Amino acid sequence: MRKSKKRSRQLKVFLLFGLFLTLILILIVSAVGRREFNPVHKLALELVGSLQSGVAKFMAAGQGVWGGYVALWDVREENLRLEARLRQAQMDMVRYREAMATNVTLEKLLQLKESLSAPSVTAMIVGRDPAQWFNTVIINQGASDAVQQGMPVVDASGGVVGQVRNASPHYAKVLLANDPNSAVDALVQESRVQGVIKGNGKGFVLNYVLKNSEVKVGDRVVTSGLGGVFPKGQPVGTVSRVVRSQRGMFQFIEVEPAADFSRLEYLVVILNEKSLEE
Amino acid sequence: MCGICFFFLGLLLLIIQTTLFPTLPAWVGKPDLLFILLIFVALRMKIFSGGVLTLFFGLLMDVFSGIFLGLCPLIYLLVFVSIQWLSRHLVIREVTHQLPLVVVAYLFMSSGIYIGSSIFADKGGMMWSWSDVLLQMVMLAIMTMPLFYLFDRIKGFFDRRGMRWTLVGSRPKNRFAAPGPGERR
Repeated sequence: MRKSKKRSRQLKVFLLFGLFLTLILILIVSAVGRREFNPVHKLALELVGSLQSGVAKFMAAGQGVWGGYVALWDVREENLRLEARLRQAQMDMVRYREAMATNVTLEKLLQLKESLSAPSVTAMIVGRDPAQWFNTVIINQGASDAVQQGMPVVDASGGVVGQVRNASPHYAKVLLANDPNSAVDALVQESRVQGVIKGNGKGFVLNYVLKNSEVKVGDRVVTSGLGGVFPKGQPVGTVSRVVRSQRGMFQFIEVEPAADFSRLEYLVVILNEKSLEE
Repeated sequence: MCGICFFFLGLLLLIIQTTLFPTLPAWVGKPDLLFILLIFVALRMKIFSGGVLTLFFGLLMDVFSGIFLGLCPLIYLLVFVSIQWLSRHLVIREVTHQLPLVVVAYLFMSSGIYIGSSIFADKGGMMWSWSDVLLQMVMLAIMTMPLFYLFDRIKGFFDRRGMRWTLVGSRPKNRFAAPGPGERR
């Protein structure tokens, strides 16, 4: 009984397998020589195609992310490189501007030296007075360059700056003309009125000008050449304020300096023949 | 050694004051760092070494500032002696309480320079400006504490190290010698 059941089951499996094999054979035979997909092909293509599509999209997305990430690294590096180049370019620009400004100043100094009748030496300011009470500067030319005490000092435009106060072999201390302890003989160019220019810490005051003298705002003040320190005609400044009070003999005259004391860099020391001979 | 170090420190401060500070905006003023060091020296150092150092500072200041030679050393020494005397009689030793001392000493020094230059000047002399003096006093008050801290650290470093110059000074005692009566090993 059991044997007969087992046989009938085996027979069914064989039949099913035979049927499946026959169908495949029919499929193969029917496909040979054809150029179009049959429904099975189409079904397979649809299934695998959709899978392929999914995988391809995933890959594309992955590649995009990865590519973007890698590119970001490149962009960052490029950004750093460009920033460094920009910094370098900015530094170069500052250097070029500085060189240009120095060139202009030196050109002015050269013109001034050529225009001066007396020999002169160009010096650079290396230090300023540390105390608030005095206006002095240290320059990098000294006795070895024929700089001596009392010599006049002007700026690149020829404006009066001060006088050499002390000198060591390679450096000298210059008392600026805007210091209250400084005094320079000067005259008003238009009216030829003479007076003494004294510093008031920031600008100048023209002293000892009588009330009846004709001085007005805008008049130019130059050195008078008296006293033998400054050569005659060096620009001192421009009259900025005139006060004639009822009391006293003299006028109160403020003068705007020709030299900009806050921007002094290079100075010209006017030498004398004696110092050069020594 | 500490004195030499402070001398070079003073020189460095003076160079900073003459080269760097003039480039700062006007409202900063001209903070006198050397003066703070001078007060520190007067407060913390012995009278001889401190006095010599003060004299050198005054001579240095004379070279770089002003036009009346000898005025700075004189005023500096006067300030030094006054602060030394005060420091011996002062009970309070905290830095915060020494701030007014620095400010008042600066006012004293400024007055001294003003009077001195008025005496020595042929004509004109110095111009007194309360706004500049007050600005300077404020700047000194701000800078005193950090600078005192720095100077204290430097002095502490040398005091702890206690470098001994046996070649020129007295030799140290023999550490391996047997202790004398009443001495502990």
